[in-house]
Amino acid sequence: MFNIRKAQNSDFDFIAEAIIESEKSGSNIFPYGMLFDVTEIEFKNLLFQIFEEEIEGQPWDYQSWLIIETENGEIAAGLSTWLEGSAGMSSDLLKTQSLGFVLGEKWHNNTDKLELVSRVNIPRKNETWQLEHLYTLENHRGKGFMKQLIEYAVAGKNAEIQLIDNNVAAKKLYEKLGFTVDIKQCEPQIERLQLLSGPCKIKMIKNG
Amino acid sequence: MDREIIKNDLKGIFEEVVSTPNIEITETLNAELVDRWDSLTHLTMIAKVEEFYDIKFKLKELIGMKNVGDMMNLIISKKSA
Repeated sequence: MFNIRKAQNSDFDFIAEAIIESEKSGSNIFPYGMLFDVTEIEFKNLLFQIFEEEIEGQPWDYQSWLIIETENGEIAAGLSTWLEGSAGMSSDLLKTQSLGFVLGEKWHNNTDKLELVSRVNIPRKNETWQLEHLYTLENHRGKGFMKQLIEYAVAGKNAEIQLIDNNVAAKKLYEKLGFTVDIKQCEPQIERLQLLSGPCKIKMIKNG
Repeated sequence: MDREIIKNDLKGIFEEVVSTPNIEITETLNAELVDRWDSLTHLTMIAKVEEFYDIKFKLKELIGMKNVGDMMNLIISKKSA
C-alpha cells in the first residue's frame, strides 16, 4: 500500500535532498558544488530560500512536487512535475534567475563554467508536463515506488524527462514506462572538468 | 525618465551581451524572440542593467519581468522612487 500526495513546506528537507542527490545522478559529483564552489549544506540553504519564494512553473517550486509515502506514512520517493510555460516564462529561465539571485557574486564569477554546461541544455517543449529530480530514498529502492509515482504523474499527459545519458537504471525504468529518447546533447569537456556526472544529456518523451 | 532613452540604453546593453548587432528593441521583446538570449545571457543582462542604472531588482520582480516593457516599467519606478 502507498499514498501519493502533494508536497508541503514540512517536506523542504526531503525535497532539498532529492534535488541534490538527483543532480549527482548516482555519482559523487555534485554539479552545483563544482560550478559555484558551494557545499551541499550551503546549497541546501539556498534551495530553502528559493522554496520560500514559491516561484511557480519550475522544478524548485516545492508545490510542484509529488511525494509517495509507505503505508506507515514514511516518505519513500518524490519528483517535481509542472506544465512547461505555465508561468509565462521557460522553467529554465525561472530556475536560473532564482539561482542567480540567491548566489549573487558566485554566479557571475563562474559564467565560463556555466557556458560549458549550457552546451548540453535541451529546450523543454511548451505545454508538456515535465518530470525532474526523480528520487527514491535508499531504503525504499527496488519496491516499485518510483514506477507508481511516474505512472500517477504522467497518466494521459504528454511528458518529458531529461537525464544524464549514463544513468542506465533510470533510463531503463523510463523506457519501461513508455518513454523514448528524443534528443541527445554532448559536450566532452564537461566530463573532463567533472561539472556533471557524464558528458551527454538526453531528453526522453512520452505521448499521453 | 523617457521610455525612448531607456530603449536606446537597453539596445546597447542587449547587443553587447548577446553579441548581436541591430536588435530592434520593442516593449514586447523577450528571450524567446532573440537568438543567444538564453538563461545565462539573461542574467548577465540583468546584472548590466542594474549596474547601468544603479538599481537592484528583487527576485519577485525578476520573475514577473516577462518582456522589455516590464523591465522598462521597473527601471522607471525604481529611478523615480
